Amino acid sequence: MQALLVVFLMSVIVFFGVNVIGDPVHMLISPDADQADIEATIRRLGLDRPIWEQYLLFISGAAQGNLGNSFIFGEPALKLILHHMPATLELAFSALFLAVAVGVPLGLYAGLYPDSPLSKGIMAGSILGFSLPTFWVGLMLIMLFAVELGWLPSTGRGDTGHILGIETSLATRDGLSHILLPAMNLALLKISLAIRLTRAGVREAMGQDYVKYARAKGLSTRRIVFIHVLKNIMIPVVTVMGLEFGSLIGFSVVTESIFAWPGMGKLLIDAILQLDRPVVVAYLMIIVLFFVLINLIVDILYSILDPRVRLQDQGT
Amino acid sequence: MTDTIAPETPTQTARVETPFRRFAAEFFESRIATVALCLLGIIIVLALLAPWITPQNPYDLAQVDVLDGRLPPGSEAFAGYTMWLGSDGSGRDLYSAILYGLRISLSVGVASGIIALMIGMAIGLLAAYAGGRTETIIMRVVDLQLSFPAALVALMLVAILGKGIDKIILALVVAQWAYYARTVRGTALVERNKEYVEAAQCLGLSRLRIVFRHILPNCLAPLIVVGTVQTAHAISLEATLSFLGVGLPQTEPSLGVLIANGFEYMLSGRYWISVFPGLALLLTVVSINLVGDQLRDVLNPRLKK
Amino acid sequence: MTKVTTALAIATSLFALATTTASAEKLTIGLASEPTAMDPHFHNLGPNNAIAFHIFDRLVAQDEKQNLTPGLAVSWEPIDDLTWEFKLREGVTFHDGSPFNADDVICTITRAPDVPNSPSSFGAYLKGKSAEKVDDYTVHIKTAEPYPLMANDISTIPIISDGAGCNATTEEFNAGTAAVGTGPFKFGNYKPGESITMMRNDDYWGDVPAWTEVEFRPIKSGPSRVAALLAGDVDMIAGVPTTDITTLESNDDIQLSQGVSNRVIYLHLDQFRENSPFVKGNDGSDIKNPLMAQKVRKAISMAINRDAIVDRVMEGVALPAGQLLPEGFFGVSDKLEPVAYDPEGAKALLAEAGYPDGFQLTIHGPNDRYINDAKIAEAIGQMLTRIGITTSVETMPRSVYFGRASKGSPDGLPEFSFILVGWGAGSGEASSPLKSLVHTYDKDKGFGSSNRGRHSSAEIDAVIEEALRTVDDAKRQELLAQATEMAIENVAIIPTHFQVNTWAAKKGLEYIPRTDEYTFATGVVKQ
Repeated sequence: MQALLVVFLMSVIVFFGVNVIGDPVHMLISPDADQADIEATIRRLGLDRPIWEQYLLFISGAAQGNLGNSFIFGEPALKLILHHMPATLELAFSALFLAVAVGVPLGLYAGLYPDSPLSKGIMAGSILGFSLPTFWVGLMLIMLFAVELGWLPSTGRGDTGHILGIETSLATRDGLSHILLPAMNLALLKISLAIRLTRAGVREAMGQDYVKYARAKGLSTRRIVFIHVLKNIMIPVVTVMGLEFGSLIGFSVVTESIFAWPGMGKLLIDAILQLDRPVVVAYLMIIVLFFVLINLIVDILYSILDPRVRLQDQGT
Repeated sequence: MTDTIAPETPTQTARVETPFRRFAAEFFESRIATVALCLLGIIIVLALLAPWITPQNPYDLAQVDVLDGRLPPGSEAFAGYTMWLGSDGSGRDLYSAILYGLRISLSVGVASGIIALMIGMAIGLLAAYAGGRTETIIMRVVDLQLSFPAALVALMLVAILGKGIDKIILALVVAQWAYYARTVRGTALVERNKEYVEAAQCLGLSRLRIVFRHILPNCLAPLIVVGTVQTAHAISLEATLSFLGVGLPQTEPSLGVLIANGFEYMLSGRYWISVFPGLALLLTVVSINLVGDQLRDVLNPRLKK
Repeated sequence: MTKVTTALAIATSLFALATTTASAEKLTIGLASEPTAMDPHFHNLGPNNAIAFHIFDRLVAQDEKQNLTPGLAVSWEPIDDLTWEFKLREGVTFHDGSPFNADDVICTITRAPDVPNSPSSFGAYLKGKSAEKVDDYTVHIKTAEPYPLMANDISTIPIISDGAGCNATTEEFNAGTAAVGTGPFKFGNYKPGESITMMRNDDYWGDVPAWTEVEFRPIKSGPSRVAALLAGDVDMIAGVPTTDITTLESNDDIQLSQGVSNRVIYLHLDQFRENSPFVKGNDGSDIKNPLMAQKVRKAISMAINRDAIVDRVMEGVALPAGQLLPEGFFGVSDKLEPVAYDPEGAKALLAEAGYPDGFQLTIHGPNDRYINDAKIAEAIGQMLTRIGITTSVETMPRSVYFGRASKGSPDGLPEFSFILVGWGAGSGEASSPLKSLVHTYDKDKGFGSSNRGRHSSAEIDAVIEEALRTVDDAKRQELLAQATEMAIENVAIIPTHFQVNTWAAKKGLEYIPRTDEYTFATGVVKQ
């Protein structure tokens, strides 16, 4: 219910907001067109009506699942976005996987041996990871791995295959080689985050009573770390990384434009630059729903990992 | 008014005085953080002094000559001075452009940081102090806002608002205020239940007074930490938006715009056009982050032995 | 640096070797801009037309210099003042095997101007024209007034199939079911934002292309596009950024092709307001619009160092312009040279016009539309400042710019005083810029639609209109040249340079450059 209210409010703000700047007609029309053609186009796109009337039309359409037609592609905006969504999702998932797979072990090490030079190197690296602008790193990755070394393709999405009926580039070798660089680029920030979260968690956990108790009981360090500490620190890590999934989708705008990755982030930035208002509005509607969903999933995951939350829920 | 709190003042000052010295000592324990702080100081001074220490005002078209375009570092400009960092495609001296760009980047970061801090602080305090329904509603909004990535919020806003320095500051404020609000509210909640607040309440001090004289000073430490990190974040976000072509216009070339302009030259062998502004951005953001990191370690009691 | 380049050279040559042996007949092209649909009549836009012309033929084609050549029509001529007769090619079949005849032409001409949701239709080219079928291979097109540009207009319309395409929606074209043409390539696959593939049409009536399969990949970011070529991901790219040309030239594994385009970059000056909003006195006060004075306009033109713009801003990849189309196009004047750079003369002329100390001016321009547009505006600002016209520069994204430049002021008139714009002559002859940029703004007749400076001269208008009624080519050429000369003499518009387009291909391939900026797979030849 609250989510619906938010979606509605957002629709008002964004709809009226995007309708203030620029003039989409001049973006679309061929320069050869004369005055009469321009007016015909304005009518065809419904831009001759007063803005509140346009909004009412939009809302009544939205209620029936129609978020309007893209000015540029002439197709339903919703269809366009859904069409571009899998590419973005697979990119974000790959980045998330990389972040956890790389970040957690490094963070674990840095947390267990805070004074070793390697740990200091890891932490310095994580600061760098935080600070380097994504777009800059993306370009460096292309320069290094695609242009100079020639190991990986520079841009685009490779061949796609099917896993469990979903079309994805993770299913083919060519697809995997295409996704590696953009996923790495997108993951960089999150790797740093995972390192820092894990390190902080480990440092805190190692000082706590249950670890001291386990040590006293004579459990091996390895067992303590991998069974007890890791299990405890995974909760905040999973929560934060889950929430960061949304930010991955947000940041994919940058990565997608550099790597010409045909996802919905690139669709959005193109729509903004070309004033394809229906697409901008529809993207926002979808993204709001999406975040509501992510929060829900994180809550569920959280309750699985932390039995106390589950017990509480059952109690009430 | 002043005499009513007279008995409290000595303890208050004593509490502030010694921790600060201890804090400074702890802060400078880390050599990296010390270097970062010095670097940051130098960067800020350079940015402030830009008009007096650069050979060219990159905004004044009378001083820029397209015939000076794309000169490598160390070349001599038409007007006679040496371009130590080379020039960009329009004939701007990069050293001058970077210092002026730093001014814009830093002011965008700091201005948005301060405004967001003020707003976030006010809302956070309100939530913590009002409690009840008001608190629930405010925190709902904060949570909601935080569930959206700042980058996306800022991107949507500039899409709606258009380009311009005021607009990007507004976008960054909207994208950031919730972080401050959450921080303040969290700390204020802890403070609210402490004895000295109860004592102050018993003394009959006004609510406003308690909030501003007692609760707020205690929230400052975490706010400073969040503030430094968020400022670095804001600078980097502005650069990203400008790079995507939705941030600042060409006429207000922040570091992000300079890098974006240099991006065209990446493969052309004229590395200096984007590398130097990139380095400047990197140094700025890294040093702020390093300082913030050390502040967090020093100010976070849980990590202290 | 040398180490880097050798490594790079080895990497690219290895890759080139690998691809040539693997599939010699497939061509991959990186495009700078993406088409918005596979429906050839949906959006009258360069990238769309370029792709459409691979799958669909036109009655009249344009060669790489935009000269008209026979396409699906073997001949065309006016049979009286108001009727043009097109004789169609016999024995041509569509990709689905159905024969091509007059019915396809008639249904195309009916559909093209009127596609639902079309953001920019082909209506402008078909306005006032009615087509009728005489027999299976003869079509007559009639107009209300004598119309010499019939074949030019018809050369923009891709012919679709009566059976498969005429009643189809844009979505059916995008899916491929309706994308049935007679062109050298057949529709393969369309993934928006990702790629467009097409297969060779082995039964093509003309020269069968050398490539069995062509893939187009839109890569909008310039450096990424160049990187894709260097990495061997694509065989050729369009729209090489001027900044990378020098490096690519020295790379032995890359072959560049360059050709001047039909696009002129020019300045429009406010010539219709007594007080122009972005012209101020030196103290910032309102003054009478000095741009009304021809001497001032002339001084501005003389103050612009066109060679410096070409050489420094465009890195040598442009031609200084003295008129509206480069040499070799129909209707250009052979008497006009680019105005010579003369800052002293400009200052003297300004003083003569009553502005010895100049005035303040703002130049507005786009920053994402033409090659290096923002930098050009800045350079012009510098040059004007040097003759005493204190100029500030404001550039903005085209999404904002063009709307404001056309009708951004409160009363719906052009908002700016002094603007940088470009014009590509789609018809490939001089009437296109003259009609739209120089002719008096006239909504009813459809003239001067992009005349944002609102220059107005009855004499020039008369010559342009006469040219547009003159069917005789030699006479029309003369009239167009005359109108151009008058416009330049009046300084109705200040042309600065013609854009030169650059394509880059891997070694062994070469692209035949086109003035219309289109990238055609058929134009890629093996050396």
